[in-house]
Amino acid sequence: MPSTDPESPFDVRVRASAARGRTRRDEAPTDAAWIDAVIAEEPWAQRRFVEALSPRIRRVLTRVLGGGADIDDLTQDTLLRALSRLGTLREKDKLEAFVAKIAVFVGREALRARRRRRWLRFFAPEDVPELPSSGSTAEGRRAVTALYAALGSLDVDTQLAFTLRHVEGLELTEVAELTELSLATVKRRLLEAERSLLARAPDLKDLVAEFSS
Amino acid sequence: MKRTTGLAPSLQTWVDTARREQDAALAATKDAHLAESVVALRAALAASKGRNVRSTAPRFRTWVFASAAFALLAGVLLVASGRFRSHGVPMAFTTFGQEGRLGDAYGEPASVVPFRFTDGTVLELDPGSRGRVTSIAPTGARLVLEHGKVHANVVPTKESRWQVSAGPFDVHVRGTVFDAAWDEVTRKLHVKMVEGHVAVTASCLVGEVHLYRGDDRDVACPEGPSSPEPPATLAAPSLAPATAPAVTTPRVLPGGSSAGLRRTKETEMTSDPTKADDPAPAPSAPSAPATVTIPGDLSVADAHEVMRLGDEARLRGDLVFADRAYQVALGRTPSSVDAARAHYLLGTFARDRGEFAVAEGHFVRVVELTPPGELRTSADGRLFEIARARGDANQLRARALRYVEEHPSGPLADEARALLR
Repeated sequence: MPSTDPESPFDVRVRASAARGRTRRDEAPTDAAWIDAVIAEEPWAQRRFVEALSPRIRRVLTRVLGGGADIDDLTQDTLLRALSRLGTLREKDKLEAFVAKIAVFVGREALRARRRRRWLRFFAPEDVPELPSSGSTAEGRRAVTALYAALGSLDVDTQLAFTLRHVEGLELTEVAELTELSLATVKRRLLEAERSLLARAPDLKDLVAEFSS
Repeated sequence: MKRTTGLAPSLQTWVDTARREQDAALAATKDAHLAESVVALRAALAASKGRNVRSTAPRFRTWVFASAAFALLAGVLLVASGRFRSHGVPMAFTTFGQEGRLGDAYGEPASVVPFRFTDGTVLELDPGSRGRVTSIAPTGARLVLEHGKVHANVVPTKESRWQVSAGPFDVHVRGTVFDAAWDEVTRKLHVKMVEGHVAVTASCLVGEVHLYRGDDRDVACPEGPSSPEPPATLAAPSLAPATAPAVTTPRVLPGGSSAGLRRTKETEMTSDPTKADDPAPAPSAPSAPATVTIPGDLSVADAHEVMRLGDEARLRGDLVFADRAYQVALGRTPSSVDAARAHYLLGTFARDRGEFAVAEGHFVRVVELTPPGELRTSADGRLFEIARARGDANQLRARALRYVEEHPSGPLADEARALLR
């Protein structure tokens, strides 16, 4: 029988579904009630969760790893972890940071895995160049390949700190929070990375000159 | 965008160039996979309940590589031994990245639903349409379009046999690209050919309607009684009225897999078997006279066996025989499960003929007879659809509300909610 109770779960669902239609897809997901709906496994809320956070996760992973065919898998993996741990999120206005932290963690695992596999194979699948996208340039592709090849000689946490700070452009405190390192350690790692890259300057001289011209 | 993060100028330029390249790649990433992500995520989340979620990507890739290596090796061995046969390769399909399920209704109010088959064939339901993949074989599959439009891109092979069914029509496809739209109110099938050739058949059509590249036309049953009475060449003498001779020419049924249905003995039945059990009015077509002759099989078999014979006929496409068999089954004190199935199938036949009142009577009986479950969900769904086809706003709203409350995750729930909004 139809329910006449205005607060019945059905009415709540209908109102929520209506509200979904009014929200922008890229709207920052800070609404506590909405997050509760995600935790309650409401399909519409899960969909919005994916739509709102996938771009951010993909971006963090791309910065950390430099790209690769596994970015889709890792984005999915991050979403799954975030969904399954959403109940532990206390400050619901920090959802994006919570998810970004998980993305960095997933990226760190992937980096380690890539390095473990590197010597096992003739070439690692993620080293295969991706098809150029619109707006892509040969120069840009070379810059990405060379940068991440150079970063590959660094410690994983150092690479993470460098890419989050200098490629993604995060504040030092944000880098420290996402990588779970102290601020002092982050600064030390960044300096270490810069020195290492500059030390490779003779190898990269032509490349750097090309980009500088 | 230039960002200064305290890096040496030469490195900064390098990093900026790399960032711009990544930004271009990220901007070019479409959201096309988001819908698939949501579905896959829900499935993964359900599967991960009760265990710690760990990274699956590396493990997944390891398995992919191992499986690919194994498949390659097996393929080489098969080809080398000359035992490879395409018809032995099982067909499967996915939708939104998930393995598709036979018989399940699919449809999204606002997005395209793709069915991707392993041979490369893609069938896409337009937003607001609904369809089911009802059977699958190594050489093809059958999609039943319940309403709306499907875009088909069928990969041709020597053995491929595909079928898109809508209402009384079957579109037979070997390999082509076309659109088929079914309007359940006007009872017209609209076919727009892009490439190739299809053949449309229906029990109300004499022969086949062939359509070729560039054709864009409606196919409808001829005006007259809405009965799916087959043409003379397909008539089933076993279901002729009592005025017909009691013993008729032996009937040869197409398919021929059921020896029981080939028998020629027919027996007169002097009462309508549906009256005792079914308060719903009997379907007017196929004609249900007070006295009909029925095959010997139906006259002696119990309800369950009659149901089985009806199912065989239905799957073979002999809907006239199937309709009569289900009516007979209802008169043989069937189990509630068989009775509900019989009412459901009779309801769908009546609906396909446009006899909505008859169909409603059957579907209401299904709801009365069946505990909550798939059949009841389907019956409520059909009642909802009938109300929609009739355009009765009050009835439609009432049925939508009932559907949402009774079947909140049913295939029509989103549509019903949208209507209530």
